[in-house]
Amino acid sequence: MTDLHTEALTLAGRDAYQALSVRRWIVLLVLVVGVCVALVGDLSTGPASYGLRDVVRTLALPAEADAQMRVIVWSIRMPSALMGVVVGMALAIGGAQMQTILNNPLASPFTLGISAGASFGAALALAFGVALIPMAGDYIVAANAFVVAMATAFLIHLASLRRGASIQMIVLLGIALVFSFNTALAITQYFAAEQAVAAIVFWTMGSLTKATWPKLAITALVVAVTLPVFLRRRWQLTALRLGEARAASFGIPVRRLRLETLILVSLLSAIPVAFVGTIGFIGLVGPHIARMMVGEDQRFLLPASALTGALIMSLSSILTKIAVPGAVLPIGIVTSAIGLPVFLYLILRSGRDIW
Amino acid sequence: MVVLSTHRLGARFGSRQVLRDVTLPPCHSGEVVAVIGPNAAGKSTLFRRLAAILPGPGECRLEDVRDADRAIAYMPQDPTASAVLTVFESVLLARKQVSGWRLERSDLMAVDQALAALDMGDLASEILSELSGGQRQLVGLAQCLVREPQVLLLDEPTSALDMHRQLEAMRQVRSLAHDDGMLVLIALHHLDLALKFADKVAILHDGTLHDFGTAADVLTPENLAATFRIRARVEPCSQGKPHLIVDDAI
Repeated sequence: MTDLHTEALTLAGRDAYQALSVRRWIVLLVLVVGVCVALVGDLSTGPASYGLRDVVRTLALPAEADAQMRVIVWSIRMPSALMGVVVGMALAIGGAQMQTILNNPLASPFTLGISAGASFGAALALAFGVALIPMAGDYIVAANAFVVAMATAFLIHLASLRRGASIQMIVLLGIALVFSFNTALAITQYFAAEQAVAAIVFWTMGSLTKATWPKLAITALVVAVTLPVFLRRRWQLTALRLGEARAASFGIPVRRLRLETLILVSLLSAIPVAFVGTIGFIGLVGPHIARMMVGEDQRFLLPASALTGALIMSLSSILTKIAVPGAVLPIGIVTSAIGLPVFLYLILRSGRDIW
Repeated sequence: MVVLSTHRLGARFGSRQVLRDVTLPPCHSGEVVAVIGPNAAGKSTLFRRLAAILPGPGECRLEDVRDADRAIAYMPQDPTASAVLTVFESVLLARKQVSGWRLERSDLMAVDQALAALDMGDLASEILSELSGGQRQLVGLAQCLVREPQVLLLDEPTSALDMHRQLEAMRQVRSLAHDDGMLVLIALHHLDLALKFADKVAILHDGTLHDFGTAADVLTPENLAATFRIRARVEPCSQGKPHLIVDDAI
């Protein structure tokens, strides 16, 4: 009798949780559909105007489409559209995990100086031809950006190892790094030739037009390798959000988990920035929007962040092509321009704390 | 029957020795052992050493446990967590650290049972960051219970609770020991609670074990004066039950 009574009493929690899970799966499903639709939309827009139906037919039956159409859709638009999706995923996953391990809502590749470091590295190559990795060849700009971005992440990690290092201190260090790199960038621009300055400015705005199949493959590989690692550790990573003491009391090796996560996050942030330039706000806004929709459980937060990042990038990519007739805006401008108001709207609208 | 004892346990932060040669006599399952002492006596450090979170000299012996990795559940003093997790999720999270990475039905059942044991089933869908301090402490307790430990280490679990809930929580803690056979070590600030609920009392002072024994043996005016710097005595009330009477600070 007691057992029956307890069973009836305790059913509520389990049922409510399962209902919540179902709702989250639906959110993920909607996001997947959204990304697919946005991707097709991205492929259908561009300087050469083709109808949506023609583009879809070229996608479905490439052999039957005419040659010019096939080249434009498959060789020109496809790499940059897919790059948008993958970069959005990488930046949003990276941002989500930075927020998790630093336990700070403001953490992202953009706010911690990793993007600014990448810009400075790229500027060194564009202005003076300085190669931080010898024999980088065609990839000298990307290689420089990558090296400085990784060095920045490593510096942040070193600071976090210091005894008594608080998370606030790390975030402040990140802000200091942003200003330092911006100053270094300004000095570089001051001494650079006029043409190089134009190239640097364009690079720092971020653009998907730099995408190629090999760059896409590398970025996708990084996402494909890191995401399963994070998902494998989802229970530990989620527990970090309960605070360091609580996570440690569960037997989680907090420091090692932080270090390993930071290394993977550095890759996730540095690679996209190296290939397509600075793209702001995806790493900050993507995870926050995802968190509002599915909560902090990493089983849902990670895929939701990735899909939200991809969706914002695809939609932004469409906007870059239709906002100003006859011109393609750098996508970094658009993500910042739409990311910020969306973020503000969501914060102000939701009555509930988001962090 | 689980037996926990320590031999010359120590810990240091930098150059500061915060725990020195603490040798706890054997504590058995079914007992509530209160760990008391003034601020900075080393109570939390002792718990962290026992939970193997902090390295240091000396050894902690644990005999007759089912599974050494999950025998001990430790509830630290609560820093406020602000995660967007429901109570159910955060308790599930504690469970999943020890039960394999795939989510099983038995995990969900265990969470419901832990919440029911603390009479907090109706809080299951509440968001953690919207709970009161006392409710969060109960969540912490549920996070320990859901791991089905044999030894519970509770670091001041009642500090944010009102009088009624303190007594309720202590009664539950005692029932976990006396009825379910757990060994409970509990750091307490309120000496009255130690007097009322603990089978044994350990007094820590300056990182060392000052005294250990039954509450009646340990809570003497001399001990209280030497460690807490208070003039106090334990005397029977009109109903014949022992109570702590504090006269003044020394």
